Amino acid sequence: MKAVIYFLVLATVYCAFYVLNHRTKRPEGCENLRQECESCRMVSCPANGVYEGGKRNA
Amino acid sequence: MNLLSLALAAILINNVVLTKYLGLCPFFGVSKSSKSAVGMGLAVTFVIFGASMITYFLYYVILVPNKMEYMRLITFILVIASFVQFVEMFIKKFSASLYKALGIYLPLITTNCVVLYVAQDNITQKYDLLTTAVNSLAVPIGYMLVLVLFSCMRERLDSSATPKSWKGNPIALVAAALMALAFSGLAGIV
Amino acid sequence: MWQNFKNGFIKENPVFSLFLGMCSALAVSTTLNNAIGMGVCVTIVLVFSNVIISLLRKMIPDEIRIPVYIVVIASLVTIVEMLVHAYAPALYQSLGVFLSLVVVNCIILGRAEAFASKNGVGSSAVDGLGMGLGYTFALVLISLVREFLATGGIKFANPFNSEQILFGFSIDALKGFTIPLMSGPVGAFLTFACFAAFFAMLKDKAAQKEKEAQKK
Repeated sequence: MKAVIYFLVLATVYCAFYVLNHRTKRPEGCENLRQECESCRMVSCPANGVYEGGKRNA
Repeated sequence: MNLLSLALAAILINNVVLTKYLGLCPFFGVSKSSKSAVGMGLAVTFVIFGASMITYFLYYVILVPNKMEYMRLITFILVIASFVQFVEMFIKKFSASLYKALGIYLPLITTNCVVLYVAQDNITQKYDLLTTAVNSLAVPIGYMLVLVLFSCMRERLDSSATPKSWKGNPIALVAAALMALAFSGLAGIV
Repeated sequence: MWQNFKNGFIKENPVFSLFLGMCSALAVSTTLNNAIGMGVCVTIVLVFSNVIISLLRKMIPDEIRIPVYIVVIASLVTIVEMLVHAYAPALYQSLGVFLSLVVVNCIILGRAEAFASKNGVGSSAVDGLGMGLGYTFALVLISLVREFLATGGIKFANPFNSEQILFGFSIDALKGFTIPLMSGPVGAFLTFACFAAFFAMLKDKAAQKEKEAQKK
């Protein structure tokens, strides 16, 4: 029982941080930075070239 | 255990990339230019140090007294992910220049094998607090060293005439093999 | 559906074409046992995570999808790790920390994001199976080369009872010519480089054939 509560607390903390981070805007001048990460096909990485203008397009 | 020899061993002799095969995805992805390699290395060092300290405390203060060692993996990955999100948010709010230098690599570090490896290793090797701190700093410094060296090599590889199927990652892998061979000559220093 | 399955093997082999999941691919492919064991674990986690995420895809708010995927995958890996520790302890010892590192394996998170979040349960499961088997296939190829060159023979033991050797052969004449270096990082990188180049060539040929077929 303790383990389930502990797990839910951790998951909630993580989701909270993730959402807060997602909603914080990037500082000015940093809108268009792109990693030179062409060979990394991690679709879940937010800086992948697949995400242009805040939406998926691939 | 002698801390200096532990640090040297982690940086040069048991290098995470060249002897333990970890952190390869960003190693071949981000090493196209040495500037991005330095940014990635600094971000990884900071994340590994912070996340290792936090997971160390969580493990010995919450998991062990409550006999929940089996939650270790879940705890570690959630803590690492939360820490990365927190750091990125912090940097976005307080320092635009720092964000420009290393903020963009932060989301990639969540799934970097090295972070989880260091966190697990500190527990399985039963290090005490100071040894954990030294290990958590030395391993990513070794990673950054190899990343920067490799990116310098790669900049040259990209402008040379490689056969068509070998362009890009395959020839980079051959370069990595030669680098591993070179570094293996350092074994036995410590 | 069959197309999805075939994709994972050659055209989009996760290890050789997409270069995902390289860390564990190189580290565990020292022997055939480890390769098959790791491949099976990754396939199981991949199929189950694809199915679970596909079932939940309408219920997850769009903003927190990545955290939810990570939580699901971490729980699955913990369960698989405990099962392996209980039923195949020799495999657990030789895989070591890489079994835990399956949770950050780029393939699983990548497939969840790219496929399972948009398709039904059936095709997600088939896609997971295809990718997982493609991964296993890649690992088996690498380990065959490495084990053969490093020890002059191939041995496959029963994972649930490591005393029993299911099949194996070794060529005694080659015992004097083994290259132990191949079981180290140097051999790993070199073998991987050769296979990656070979698969790039296959992909090129397939793309050329398609272009010519389109011209007609």
